[in-house]
Amino acid sequence: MESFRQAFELLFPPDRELLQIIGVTMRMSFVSTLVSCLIGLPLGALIGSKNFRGKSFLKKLIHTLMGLPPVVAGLIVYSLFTHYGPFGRLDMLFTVEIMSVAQVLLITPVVTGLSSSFIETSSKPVIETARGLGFSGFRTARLCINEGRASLLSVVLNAFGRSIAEVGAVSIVGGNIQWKTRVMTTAIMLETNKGKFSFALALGIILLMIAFAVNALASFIVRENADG
Amino acid sequence: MVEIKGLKKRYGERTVLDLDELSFSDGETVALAGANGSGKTTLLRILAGLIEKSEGTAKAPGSVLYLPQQSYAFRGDLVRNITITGAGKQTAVELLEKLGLSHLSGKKAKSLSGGELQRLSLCRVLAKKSELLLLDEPTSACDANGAALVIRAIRDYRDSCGCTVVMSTHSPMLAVNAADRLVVLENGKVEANGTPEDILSNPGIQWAKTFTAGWKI
Amino acid sequence: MKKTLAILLAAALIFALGACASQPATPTTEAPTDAPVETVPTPENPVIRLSTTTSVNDSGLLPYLIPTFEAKTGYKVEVQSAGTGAAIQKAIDGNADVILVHAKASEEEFIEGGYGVERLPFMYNYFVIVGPKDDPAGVKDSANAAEAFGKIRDAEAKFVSRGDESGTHKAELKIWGDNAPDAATDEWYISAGQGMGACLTMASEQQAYCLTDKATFLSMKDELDLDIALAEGEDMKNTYSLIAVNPEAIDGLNVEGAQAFIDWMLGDEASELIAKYGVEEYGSALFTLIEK
Repeated sequence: MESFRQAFELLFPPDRELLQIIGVTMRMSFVSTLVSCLIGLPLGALIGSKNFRGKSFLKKLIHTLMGLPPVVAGLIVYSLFTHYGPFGRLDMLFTVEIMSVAQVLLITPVVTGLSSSFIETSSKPVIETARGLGFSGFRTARLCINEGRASLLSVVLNAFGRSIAEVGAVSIVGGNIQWKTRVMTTAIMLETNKGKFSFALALGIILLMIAFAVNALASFIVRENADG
Repeated sequence: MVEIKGLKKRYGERTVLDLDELSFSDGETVALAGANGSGKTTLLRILAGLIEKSEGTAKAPGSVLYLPQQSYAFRGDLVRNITITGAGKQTAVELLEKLGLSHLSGKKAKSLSGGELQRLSLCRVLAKKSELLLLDEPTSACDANGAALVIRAIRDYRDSCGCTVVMSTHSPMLAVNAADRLVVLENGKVEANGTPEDILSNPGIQWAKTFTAGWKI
Repeated sequence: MKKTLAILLAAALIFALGACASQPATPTTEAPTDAPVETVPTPENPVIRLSTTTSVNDSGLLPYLIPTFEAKTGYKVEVQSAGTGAAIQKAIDGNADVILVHAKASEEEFIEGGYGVERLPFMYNYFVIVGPKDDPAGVKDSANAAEAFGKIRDAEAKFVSRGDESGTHKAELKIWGDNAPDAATDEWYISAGQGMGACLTMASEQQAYCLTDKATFLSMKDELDLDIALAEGEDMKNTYSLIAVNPEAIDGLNVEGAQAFIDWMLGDEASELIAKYGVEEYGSALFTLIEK
C-alpha cells in the first residue's frame, strides 16, 4: 500500500526525473519495436508462406534466438561497440540508440517467429480464398494483414512488452546513466539496490500502468479501424 | 474449354494425380466424384493455379474462380463479404436473396453457421464473372434445402455467362441435379466418365457401389 | 507483497550475476589451511546470513576468509551482496543475521533505529581516484580528494559516479561537499547507478575519472584502461564495520552464529589473514586493521 501511495505521489504532480525516464523508456521501446517489426514481419510472412530448403533449420534457429538471454544479447552488443571493438569508432556505447540496437537483437526473432507461425496457421484459409477469387499477391497480403490484425497486434505488443520490461541487456550497453540512459527497469534495479524496496515497487506499478495504457490504446486504435 | 493431357502431380514418391486425357467444354457442368484422396481437390487446385503440376499439360481459360472447401468469413457483415470482390451492393443483395441469406445481410459473417457461411462463400465467387468456375464440395456443409439453393444458383450462373463449371462432390444429389457429366476418380485416375444417371446405375463402378451400399452400415 | 519482493530480489540477484560476469577472478592468495586436527563442532543453527556490499564481495576478501571460518566452526555463511542501502534494508527486513558495510552515517542510523547491536569498525583502506592514464585534469599532485575533485570540476573532465547511494557513493558526496555537481545539467558528471565493477568499466570506456575502493580497482586493473590518479588523501579513508542484527528488534535471528562470526573476524586468526590479503598479488595489503 505504501508503494501505491508513493506511485501516486510520483505522478501527481509528475516528477521531472520520472518523466524523463519514462521518455527514454518509450523512445527506446518504440524505436526497437518499430525496427524489429520492419525486419521481422516481412521475414515472418516469407517464412510462413513459402516452402524452401533449410526452412525447418531456419525455424529452429529463430526459436532458439527467441530464447536468447538478454544478458547475452547485451554482452554481444557491448563487445561490438566497446571502445576497442569493431564498431568502437561510432562512439555509441551508453546511448539510447545502442540500447535500441540490443533490444532489436532480442525482439526481432520474437516478431519473426510469432508472425511466421501466425501466417502459417491462421492466414492459410485467407490466402486460399483470396487467390481463389483471383486477387493479386499484393491484395492478398493486404487482406491477410487486415484479417489477422488482432493477432498481428498481439505480436507487436508482445515485442513492445519485452522491450519495455527488459533490464539485463540495457543496463550493460546503456549503463543506467541518470538523465541519459536510465529507463524504468534500470531505475527499479537501482532503487532495489539502494534498499528502497517500496519505492522500487512504486516504479514497478507505474511501469505496469504504462504497459497497460499502451496495450489499451493499441487495441482501441485497432477496434476503431475495424471493418474499414 | 479445359484440356488435360498426361497430367501428373507427385508429392515425393507418391503420385496423387495421373490423368491421360480429359476435357471439359464451354457451358458444361462437370461433377468430380471419388473417395477421399482420389485427387479431386488436387485437380481443382492445379486448374486454379494454386499448385504446380509435376508434368503434362492442363489448359484452362484466363479467368478462373475457385471456391475452397474450407469457407472463410472476412471481417464485417455479409454484404461487405461480397462487395470485397469489387461487386456492387445491388449484386450482393440479389445474391444473398438467391441463396436465402437476405435476413442475415447486416450480421457479421463470422457469426454464421457452417451451412450459411458456405452459401455466403458461394455468393462471393458468383459475384465475379469467369470462364471457369471451380467449386470444392460446395454443398458439404449444407442441409437439403441449402443444397437446393446452391444447385439453382450454380445453374443460373452457368446459364448467364456460359462458363465451364467443375465441382467436386460426395453428394449424388448434387451430381444428378446440377451436373451434365460425372467423372469418377480413383487413386488419381479416371475410373468412370459419363452422365450421372448412367454411372450411378452401373454396379461395376466402385464409387457408385459404395454409395448405394453405403446407406446401410 | 512479500512475493513481489521476492521476485524483485530474485531479479536483482540475476542482474548482479550478469554485472559481475565479466569481472576477473579475485586475488588468488591462498588461505592457509592448517588442517584442524580437532573435530569440527556442529552448531545447532549452522547457517549465518551475512549481508554485505558489492565492493566488499568484489574485493574477494570474503571468499578468502570464510572457508577457514567454516572449517573451524562448522557454520555455513551465506553471503548476500548488494549496495549499502539494500544490504542494510535486508537486515531491517529480517533477512540477515549480521552486516558488513562501510558507510558510517547509515550504520549509525541503523543502530539508532534499534536494528543493530553495536557498530564494530575493524579495518580500513583508502578510496582511490582513478582516471585516464594521461590525467587530463592534472589531479596527480593534489593534497587530498577534495582538491582533486575541484580540479576535475574546473576542467569539466568526465567523472563517473556510482549514483546508487552505496557507501562509495556516500563517500564521494561527502568529498564534493557543497560543490556536488548536478547530473541533470553538468554533462561531464555521469551518474551511473550501477555497481563498482560496472562503473569502472564505464569510466574506462569513457576515459573518465572515478572514485573507487582500491581492492576492486586492483582486482580489475588488467581489464581497464585507467590508472590511479590519487591515492591516500586524509579524506579518502574507508572504514569497514561489522554489526550484529539486534534480536530485540528482529525475530528468527541466528544470534549465536552472528556472534561466533564477529568473534572470529575480530580475533587473531582473521586479523593475520586480513593483514596478508593482497600482499602477494599487489605488493601491499588491501586492508589495514584498526588497532584494538
